[in-house]
Amino acid sequence: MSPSLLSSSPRLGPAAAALLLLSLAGPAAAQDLAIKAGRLVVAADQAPLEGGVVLIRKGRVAAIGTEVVVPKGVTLHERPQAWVVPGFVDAHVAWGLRGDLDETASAIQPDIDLALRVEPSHRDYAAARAAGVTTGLLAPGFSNLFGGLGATLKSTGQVFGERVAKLTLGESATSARRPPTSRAGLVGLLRQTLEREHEGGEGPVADFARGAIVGLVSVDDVAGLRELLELKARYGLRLLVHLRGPVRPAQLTELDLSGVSIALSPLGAESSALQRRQAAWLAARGARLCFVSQQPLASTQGARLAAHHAVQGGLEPQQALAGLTSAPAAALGIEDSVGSLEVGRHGDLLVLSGPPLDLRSEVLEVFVAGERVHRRIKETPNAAREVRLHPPAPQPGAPRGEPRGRSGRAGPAAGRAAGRASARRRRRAGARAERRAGRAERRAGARAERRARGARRAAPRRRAPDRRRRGRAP
Amino acid sequence: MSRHRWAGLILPGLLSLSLAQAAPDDPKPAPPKPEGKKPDAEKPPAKKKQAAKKQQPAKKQPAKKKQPAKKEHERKVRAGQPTLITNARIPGASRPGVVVLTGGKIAQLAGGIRRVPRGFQVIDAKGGRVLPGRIDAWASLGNPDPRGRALDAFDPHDEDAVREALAGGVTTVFLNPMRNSASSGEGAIVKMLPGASRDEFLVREGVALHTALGFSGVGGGAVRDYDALRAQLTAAQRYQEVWVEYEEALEKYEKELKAYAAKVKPKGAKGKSPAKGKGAPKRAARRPAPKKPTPKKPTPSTPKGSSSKAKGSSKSSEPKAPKQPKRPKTDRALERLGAVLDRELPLRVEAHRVEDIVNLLELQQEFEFELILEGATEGHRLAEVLAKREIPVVLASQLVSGIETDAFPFRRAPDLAARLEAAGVEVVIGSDGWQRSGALGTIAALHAQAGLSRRAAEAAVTSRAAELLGLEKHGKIAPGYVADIVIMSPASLGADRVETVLIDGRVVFQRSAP
Repeated sequence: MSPSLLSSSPRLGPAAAALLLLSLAGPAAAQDLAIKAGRLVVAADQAPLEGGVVLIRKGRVAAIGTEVVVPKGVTLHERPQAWVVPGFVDAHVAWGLRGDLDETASAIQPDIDLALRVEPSHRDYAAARAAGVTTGLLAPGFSNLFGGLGATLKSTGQVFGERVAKLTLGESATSARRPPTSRAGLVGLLRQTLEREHEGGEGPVADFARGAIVGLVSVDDVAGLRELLELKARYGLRLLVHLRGPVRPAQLTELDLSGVSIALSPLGAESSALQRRQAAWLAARGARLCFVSQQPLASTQGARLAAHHAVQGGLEPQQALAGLTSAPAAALGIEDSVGSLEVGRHGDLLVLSGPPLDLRSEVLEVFVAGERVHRRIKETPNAAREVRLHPPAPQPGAPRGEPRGRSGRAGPAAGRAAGRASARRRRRAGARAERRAGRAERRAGARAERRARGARRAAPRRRAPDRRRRGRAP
Repeated sequence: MSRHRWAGLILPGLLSLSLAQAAPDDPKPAPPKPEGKKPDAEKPPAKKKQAAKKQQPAKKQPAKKKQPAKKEHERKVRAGQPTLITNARIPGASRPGVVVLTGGKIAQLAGGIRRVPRGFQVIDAKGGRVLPGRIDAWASLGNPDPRGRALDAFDPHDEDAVREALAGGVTTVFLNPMRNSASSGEGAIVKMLPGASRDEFLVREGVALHTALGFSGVGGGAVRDYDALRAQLTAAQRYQEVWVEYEEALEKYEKELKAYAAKVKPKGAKGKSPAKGKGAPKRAARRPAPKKPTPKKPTPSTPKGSSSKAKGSSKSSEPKAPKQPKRPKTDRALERLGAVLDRELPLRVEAHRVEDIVNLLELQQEFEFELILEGATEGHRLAEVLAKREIPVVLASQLVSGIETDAFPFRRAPDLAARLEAAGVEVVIGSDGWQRSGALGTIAALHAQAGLSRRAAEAAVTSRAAELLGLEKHGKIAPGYVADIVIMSPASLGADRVETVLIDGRVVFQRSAP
């Protein structure tokens, strides 16, 4: 038993204690409100409720369903066209940590604690809120075997819940400048450390080794996953395995993944059909999938995009939505607080313009603990910020080919109606078809013109205006 | 394309249907109709023009012959059997209906059917969306040859790439060449038919010339590229002029040669050519100066051709043999740019920064080519100008578009597509940057999420893309349109996926169980 109360508590890293105390008081400050949605998703595994109402009091869900009575004095927000869903939970973010992720002097860094690096005013937090992420795990990167402690926090900056260790069991944690220098060395060091810390160690590494805190472990491939599962069985580790590399179904055949949380990150340029299908394969073997963005290393869309790819690859939509909400909450041990809108959970929810797994659905509003923290604002019209060119100079001589016929049109008004724009587009489509058809004739014209030019070649072409003087637009 | 395209005007007899004329202009070969000889429609005007030029420079003939008549490609279509797609959610329709496909086309849309006609196969869409095959208007292929054709880097046997495109509901792709020089090469339009022959998958090549402005991403690079591009365009102009001069000189030369031959014939009966009647000039034209019995002093004929003629007739002394003009060098890159200057080909330019786009617009104004802008990451700041100048814009994913540096970051607008659309710019969406056409639907969806209307986002990867590429009867679910069709799974929580893809009414992709 450890002498210090703080370090013995798995829930409280020493550094986070103060923050945590502050955050406990947080939700109470929020206003009570009720939202009536076109469709209301209580939890990923439940069918959406049509016309459901969610009532939030003191920052938590007080009642939810189709027959909720909204008490007097509580504002009811009606969103008849919208979907209301639980706020997204992203099990690996790096908000505000650009270029400052890892200390690489040694492979085990028990003293790094990201609860000290929370900076809610950073734009990454706002970007996350705009993307519908209400809860994230702020965790170190991929350069160390034991990278340090991550913090579970709201995208408003409130730290809550358990601490989470961040480990990497893959190529990126090896280094030529310090041991371990190979993947085998990494596994060896991990075994050694777990063996030592499991009995009688103290501090974050020992907490992880005893299964007192969750470890988010990045692995490159199925081999790494296998090693981890073995260690999990031996030491009773609590794991969220971040599988970074591609997987083939043959590698999974004899693997039992039931109850194992596996995190998948967005597939970018290299998103092959094979990789998209891996989510479905893993789910078929019983894995509980979570989608993580690693924002800002990847885009703010991150997790949603990964879920989208997974569905394209064959994953069931319910599982995909769970992977954005309840599954990561459960993997991080915060399922009693976030990940669904059951009574008693935090009032973290999103108002979407359409169904949650349709990538086209916009995040209209975001509530954290019953407080609106984001609202989509349509951008100002273009006129205010556009750069204008000089009026076109008159052409010397006859124009080549037929006149383009655009300069005659009246200048565009600032607030042009969409109808006019589309009419113009249609007109232009016709014009282009005509142009295409008229090319043969024009070619003759152009040819004649070239001949003519041959004759008056002495006259130089109009010089282009000196564009070098023009800088960037203000 | 270029040399023979350009020369196609001069030498009509050879390629009766010189692809050069038809390919860039007429979208006719696009509809997959094996029997319809559509290009004929284009022919007459071209012919008339050329009638006058019939007797043009013989010299070019051999050179021309070597180039295959690749332009007038008519895709070989393997249409699927007659098909009914039932229980289909057709865009714009309120209730599920039936799509009838025959002969590789959409025959009609119906509300329902009583019984299945004989010979029809039935595909049950199960209430899923039925969409036109997506058209990727900007797919990059790594072709290292700057003067290459994108087509040469396309491998229909690359099953992964082709199948992934199909898995993303993409049936037609515009292949861009790499953009690493002032004039990079030609794009081609291909169908995503796995393992098909070139006859089958190639819709059209030589569709556009592609380049980039300011692509180096650093301030100085942009200006350099501008200069390079302008220099190239100027060179192309000069190149055209040189060739016109040459042709004129050649024409004149031939006239003179005829006159000369007529002069020398009576005397030179004893000479080399015992030609009868008009045989002599003809031969002369085909194989000019060197073989002629040329007298000693060859006078430069170009400046005073007519006077020499007069002289020859009056004077007793030997007539001077005309001198054949020297043939200028050919340069394929400049020829292609010449086609751009003649507005036979559009010039597609990737540019991201405001200043690059401004430069580009100036170049366009100066040289008057048909411009298609790609990328346009900062294009929202020029939206009104682009709309006014009617320049279509091909956007890629906003997440990854373009190469920027920390010192010169792009001024991105997440709702770029929406703003361009609002200003009236024609917005088309491509997959570039993701390298995979299969992501096209995802990219369009992301633009829609950022504010582009759903209808516009859908059109940007179907009908509008078809229009931009000059593909007729593509990109819509409507009678008479090509039966390139994507059948989605029924949606749940807003998520659906591609289940079946048909090209020319033939099933080319079917999702298997995971």
